[in-house]
Amino acid sequence: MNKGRTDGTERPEVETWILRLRDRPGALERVLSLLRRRRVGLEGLSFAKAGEDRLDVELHVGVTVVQRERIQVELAGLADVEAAEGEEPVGLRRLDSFNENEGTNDGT
Amino acid sequence: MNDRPTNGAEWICDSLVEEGVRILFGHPGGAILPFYDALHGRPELRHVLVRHEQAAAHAADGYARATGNVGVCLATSGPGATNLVTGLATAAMDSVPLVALTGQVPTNVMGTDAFQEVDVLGLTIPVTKHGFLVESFEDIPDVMREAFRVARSGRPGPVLVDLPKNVQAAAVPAYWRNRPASVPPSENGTRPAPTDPRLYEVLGQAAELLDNALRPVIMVGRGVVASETSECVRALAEAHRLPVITTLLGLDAFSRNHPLSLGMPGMHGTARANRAIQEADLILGFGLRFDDRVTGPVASFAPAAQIVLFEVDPAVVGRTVKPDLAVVGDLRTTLPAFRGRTRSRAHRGEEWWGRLRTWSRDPSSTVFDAAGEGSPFGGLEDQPPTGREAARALARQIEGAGGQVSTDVGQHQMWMAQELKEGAPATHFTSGGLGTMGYALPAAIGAAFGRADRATWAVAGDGGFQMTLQEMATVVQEDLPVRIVVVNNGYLGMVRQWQELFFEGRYSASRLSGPDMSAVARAYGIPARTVTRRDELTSALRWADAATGPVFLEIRVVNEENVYPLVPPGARLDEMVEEPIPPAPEPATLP
Repeated sequence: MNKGRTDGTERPEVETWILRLRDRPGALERVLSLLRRRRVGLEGLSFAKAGEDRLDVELHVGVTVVQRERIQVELAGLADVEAAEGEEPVGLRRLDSFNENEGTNDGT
Repeated sequence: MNDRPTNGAEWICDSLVEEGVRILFGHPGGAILPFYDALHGRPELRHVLVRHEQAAAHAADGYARATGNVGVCLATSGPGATNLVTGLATAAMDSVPLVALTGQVPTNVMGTDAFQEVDVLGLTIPVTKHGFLVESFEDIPDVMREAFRVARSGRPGPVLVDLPKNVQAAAVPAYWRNRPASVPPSENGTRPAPTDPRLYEVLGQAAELLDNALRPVIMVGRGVVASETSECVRALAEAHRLPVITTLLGLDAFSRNHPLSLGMPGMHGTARANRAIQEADLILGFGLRFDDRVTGPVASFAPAAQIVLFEVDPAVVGRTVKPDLAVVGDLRTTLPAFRGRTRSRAHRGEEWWGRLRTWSRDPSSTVFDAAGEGSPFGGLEDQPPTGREAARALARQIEGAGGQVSTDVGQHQMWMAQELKEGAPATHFTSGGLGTMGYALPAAIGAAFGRADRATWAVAGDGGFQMTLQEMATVVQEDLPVRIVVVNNGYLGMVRQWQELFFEGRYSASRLSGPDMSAVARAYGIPARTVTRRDELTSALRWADAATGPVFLEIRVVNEENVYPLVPPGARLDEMVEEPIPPAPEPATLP
């Protein structure tokens, strides 16, 4: 059987994730630290203030299919990643259509 | 209304009291002095002065593990704060709820490389669940509430609160102090209820898997101890006659004297546990994270099994072993709900149990029994005990009196893990994830304060003990009845073992020339004895157990001895090496 075991050989693909953070000391660093600790390749990063005490962060990350869900869950569990309004307890959006529309899924 | 003049530090004390804190472990210094000044007038907050900040974190950790409450440690800025890092990492790896308060230089000089300034918030990001820098006194109550909530919630962990000196010293107007906090108070130990809308559907699937399994096993981790669901696991196992495997941090979740117990899995686990994992067709994992010391190479772990993981932290799911089914939620909710959905299978499993019984449940049968009748040492009573014999005698003494024990890291840790059998909840504390040498003594200090009704033991090797032995001063100052035991083999024993087995016997930097340990203990004012012969062991342990204050016992054991069973690095669990015929014991010689 042995189905679904992680073997670390999956090929990473670049995706774009967007986070809204509470803009407090260490918030952005904690996100980046998590990505580094979990060996997620960071291909690009941009951020901008979103109001007085919020920060919108756009991450271009190289992740495997196996990594993706787990890292997103872990990101969403960080105290400064803000819960989105509505039912989803996660302040993380994965822009499935972003790569197709913007053509940025080439690792550049 | 409270109109008493106050400052930020006193407000922090108020917050601690509100969160149910009664004891803090720390070491003062310049940047935390306003807080210590406020503490001076707060008898309801007991402060324990440690001799090194690492010990403050470990003591808070031991207190938290023993009580289930949040442990609190504090340190000054700069080196005080950096000394906490190992303790915070230890707690993070083992899911222990801590709040660490650190002094910081005043905000007007932050960023100037001021005296004793260090970016402790940045330093601790990878080893904490969260961190706060309090930049204004107005934020104190909300930050403190959030810190405790984060530390306790979900998978517990350490939280850092960095407190600039001017924030501690700031005068707090009465109107500020009496305004309602925007963060609701947390309750000790509460966790959010599971929110997965598919939870009950998943539980039904898990129950169906169990109903259909022919070779099921339960694996229990620290999550069961932390959630206080040991009884629920036992009831489930007994109802279905399910074999139970307990990881290093789950040893105190299920008695290994129970007929359903298979023992500990992994690198130094029992043959029965490891072979059961490799032949199982279903593994029910409760509150564990499938550490690499448990699984061996992930690709070869439990090749025939479907795996169902019950875990509070969704981020743990799939980090190493990817389960076939994950039940994400608090075990206090999910385990009873799961049990209610299963059908009795007690009549099944005979074939599986017949197979399980062909493998040894004991780690070693080649041990002289120090507590045995007659002449248990076969004429070798004047020889030094082996490390395993010492561990077996210790385990019997500790568990026989309902005690609690912290162990350090290395060979003695594994022997104690193998020999402790009773599994009384929250009685065994060890650094399982980080493997922190120097943990045992300060953690025992915290545990002794947390559970004064239990006899507290700290068991360390001669290597680890020397990393935090200065805490004997803390034990004496507090007159704590901690029984300190050093299992002394004159080596960094596990390093030496690996060098013997995997580096062709090249003992590089693993030989220790220690001091006379008992003499050191006496210098601190602790009554001490040294055991050098097998026949001294039992009486020495009884002497230690009867003590009403701190005592110290050095047990000089055989110098070169290996921990078995052993799964060699890179090998499958079922490729474990069981104990070879032991060599004749040699006299202990200390360099």
